[in-house]
Amino acid sequence: MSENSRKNSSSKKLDELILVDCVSYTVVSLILAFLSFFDLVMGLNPRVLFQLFAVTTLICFLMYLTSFLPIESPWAEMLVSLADVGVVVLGVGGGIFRWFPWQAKYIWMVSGVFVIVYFITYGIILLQNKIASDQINRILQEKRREQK
Amino acid sequence: MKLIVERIKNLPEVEVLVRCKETPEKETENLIAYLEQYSLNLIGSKAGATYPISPADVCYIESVDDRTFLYLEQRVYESPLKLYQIEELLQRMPFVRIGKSVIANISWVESVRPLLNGKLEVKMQNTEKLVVNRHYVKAFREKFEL
Repeated sequence: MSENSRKNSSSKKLDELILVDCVSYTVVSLILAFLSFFDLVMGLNPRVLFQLFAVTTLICFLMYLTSFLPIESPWAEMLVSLADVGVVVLGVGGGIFRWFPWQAKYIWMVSGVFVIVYFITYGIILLQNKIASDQINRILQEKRREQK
Repeated sequence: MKLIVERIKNLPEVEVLVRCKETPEKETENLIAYLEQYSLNLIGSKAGATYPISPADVCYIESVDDRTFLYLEQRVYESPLKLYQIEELLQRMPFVRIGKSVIANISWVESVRPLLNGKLEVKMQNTEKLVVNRHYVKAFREKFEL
């Protein structure tokens, strides 16, 4: 691959990585702020917010790496992405940052939160793609009308 | 825009001269890109014979096992070039990379629909369906000036 093609391709992947990171960080921060408001989780402080950012970035990086796996089925791909999230949240969040004790009750609760965040993030990306598809289809229809 | 058409008897080849500003407007750029499809020929081989192929006739290009294939409406030709070489050659034309091994001609796109996994499914005018990989969705949208 030429230098130009390589640069273009990496910048496209980086753009997507940043978008997913931003959306997931925002969604998870909002959910935790909501839970914290009702005293359901520990209060959010700058340290936790930085740790959250590290976790969402790490998840995006892991997703980027696993996106190169030769998986055809969309469902299998979704499971791999969910596993990426699970490994980082439970391993780094629970294991290194000690966000929650390693007990079944907390693991289930945290798993619930990350599954929700995952589906909201992908819902937003899906919505973006739906809007883009509709716009492209409109452009194509207009072109066809002009050609007639 | 001023359009001049000169009809000359027995002219061996059509000549198009675009006279524009040093930095042309978007519309002129698009027109040049469109014309470029007809001024350049790709080489395709089939059953031992080689043929000149206009990029405008190519629906998509795919690399399989280190070999590059040009997919036309009904026929398939093999190209001696690598996918990235063709990508560079056609970068100003309505071609865009949609996956690690596929370049699509957006002039041949019939419709687009989103898939669950963040990819897009593209239906081509020859009824074939291609998938735009997640990493290439942005570039694909940009090609439609979105």
